[in-house]
Amino acid sequence: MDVVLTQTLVSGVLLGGVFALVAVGLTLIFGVMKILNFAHGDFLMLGMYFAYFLSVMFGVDPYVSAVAALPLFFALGWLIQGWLIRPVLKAPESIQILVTVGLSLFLQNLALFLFSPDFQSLRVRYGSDTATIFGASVSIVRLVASVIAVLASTGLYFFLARTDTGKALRACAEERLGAMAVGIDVERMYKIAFGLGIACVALAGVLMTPFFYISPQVGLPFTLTAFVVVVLGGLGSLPGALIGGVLIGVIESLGEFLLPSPSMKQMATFSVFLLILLLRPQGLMGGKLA
Amino acid sequence: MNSMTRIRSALLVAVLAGPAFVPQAAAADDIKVGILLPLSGPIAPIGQNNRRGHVLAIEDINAAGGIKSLGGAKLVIVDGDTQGNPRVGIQEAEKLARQGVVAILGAYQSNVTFPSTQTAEKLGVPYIDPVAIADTITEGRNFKYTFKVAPKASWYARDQLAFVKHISSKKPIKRVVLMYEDTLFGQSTSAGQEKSAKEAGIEVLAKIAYPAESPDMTPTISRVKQLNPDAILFVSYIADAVLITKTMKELGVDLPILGTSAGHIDPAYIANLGPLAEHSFTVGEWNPDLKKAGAAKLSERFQAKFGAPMNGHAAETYMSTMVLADALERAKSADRKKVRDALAQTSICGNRNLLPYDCIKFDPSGQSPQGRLVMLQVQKGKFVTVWPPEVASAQPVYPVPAWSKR
Repeated sequence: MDVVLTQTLVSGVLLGGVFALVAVGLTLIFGVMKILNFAHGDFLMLGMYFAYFLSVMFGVDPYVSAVAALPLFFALGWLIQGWLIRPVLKAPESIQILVTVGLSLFLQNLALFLFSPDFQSLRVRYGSDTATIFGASVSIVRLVASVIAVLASTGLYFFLARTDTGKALRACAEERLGAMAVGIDVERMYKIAFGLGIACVALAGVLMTPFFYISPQVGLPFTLTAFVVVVLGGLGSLPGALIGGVLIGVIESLGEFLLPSPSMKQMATFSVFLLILLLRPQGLMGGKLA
Repeated sequence: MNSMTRIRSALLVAVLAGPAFVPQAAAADDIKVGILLPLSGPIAPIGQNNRRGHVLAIEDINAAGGIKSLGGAKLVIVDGDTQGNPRVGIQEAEKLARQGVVAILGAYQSNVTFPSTQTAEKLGVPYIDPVAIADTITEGRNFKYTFKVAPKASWYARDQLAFVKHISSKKPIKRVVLMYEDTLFGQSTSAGQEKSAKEAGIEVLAKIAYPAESPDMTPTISRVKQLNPDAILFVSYIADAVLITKTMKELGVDLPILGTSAGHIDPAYIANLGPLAEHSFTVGEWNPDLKKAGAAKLSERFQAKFGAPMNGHAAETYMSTMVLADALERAKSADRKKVRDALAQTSICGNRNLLPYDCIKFDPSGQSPQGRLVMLQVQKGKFVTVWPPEVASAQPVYPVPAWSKR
């Protein structure tokens, strides 16, 4: 096979793995609570700064930060659900959107204030090492990010499918009143869902720091892409987000390769978005969480 | 609103606005210089840095005895804040004219400089443009009061390609790929590169526009690798410049990187890439290591005073202030018309001109026609001037070594 095409496909899959992890968090939150989290990408940004500062100030390797980020961002999500999202859960959708958009603006400006608008990037020793797969040159850090992202998404899937808490979460997603009737603590489940969703996206952010730049506005394009992924896979479907993420990664890469100009690659992504909305509005996998 | 609250709010306004009404502590024979820059708003940091060049120059002029032909008159700054907005820029230019400035210097952005030079022309106020590069500021307007020390935008590509020709003697560069971010900045600059390349007899294999916020550029870089050019010419912002350089290393694309100022000259380029930035070339306006007597010392004083390195903008605003002082000296008057006539006769040459060319003069359009850009290369983690030979402090490292040897 043509080496450029191989390179394109491989890098598309790798990029898609990260997209998937971002989207998994978004779809989990939507699936359980029917809330569209427009601040999703900004938690990616926070995850990146978390890893950046731990590394610059204390010399902590980003992969160690990844482990530390999970409980921390889970707790952050838990608190935000309790304080900010819970009061608007029964409000009209427009109010919910305003709250998450407001949260997004708040986080971006907080980052501007605390971390300056300067562009940063983390330099790690192994940051530009490569391996060769099917004749394509692959960045090790991108490969690792993608593998961990897919593992984390799969782990989350099995958590939802097999454990009691997971089953309770799915129950809340499918029938809130029913879940309450059988004695599930719905409020607590919502906090868990939001915490898990934020932990996922922050993990994606931490995993990206060895190869991507960091700035207060870095999250925005990822929020948009995550929405496309989630709609493609089926709103609220975890396997859908995983498959959708990889698909969108490949579509963006192929678009960059096949279309006359790389500027048009996002056109490819959003064309797919429009086609899905027109032809299969429920998404590839329908709307079941797991 | 009752009368009490009205009084109270009037008092509040007076207190808040108070400092603005304190008159400038200016002696009768001081000469007011209008500095028009974005001092607030998102690009304020750049405006503030531009202003430092003016401040340092005015300090130097006053310390050396002011304008001698006017009895040692001192220069004082009157600020106008454009907020980065063309409309505000026009209002502020009018305000500076009313406040009696002898000339206006500014306004960093081309889209603010263009309309505010119009205002200055109408009001008969000399206007010196140190930094804004758009060709249209001096082309086809026949303005009498606009003097542009800044090089023209189209000269960036002209000088970049002249450099490509220059190093071609060591290892020929016959085929290039142009990569540029897909907004107006990238598009217009790369159109200039294409034209200059054609004139230089260099083949353009591909023109690739890309969105500056791409999360991944691997497919594009592997396509460029397959095209196998002799060099890549970039017009990039900082995020994309860093991502592309990293990707080139990962894919083993051992080609010379030729940036066009902007992202490639940002100190963050070296800070973020470390050893990977090594041997990248970029067009630049100025660099402290230029072979001009006094350039190194000036940048040391700048660093000591402001705690920031002196960049091209600051050098241009410094020299533009010197141009005004020189004209005042010769005009023997602070009359705007006489200063304008003196500016038109400007000739600051050799080591008196810290910019990388021989003489600052103005042609009838108001452009400094000898203006020229320099080429910098990252060597041992620092930008050094490698072209043109008259002002270069180091030889270009070319052909560039393979990534494994950087």
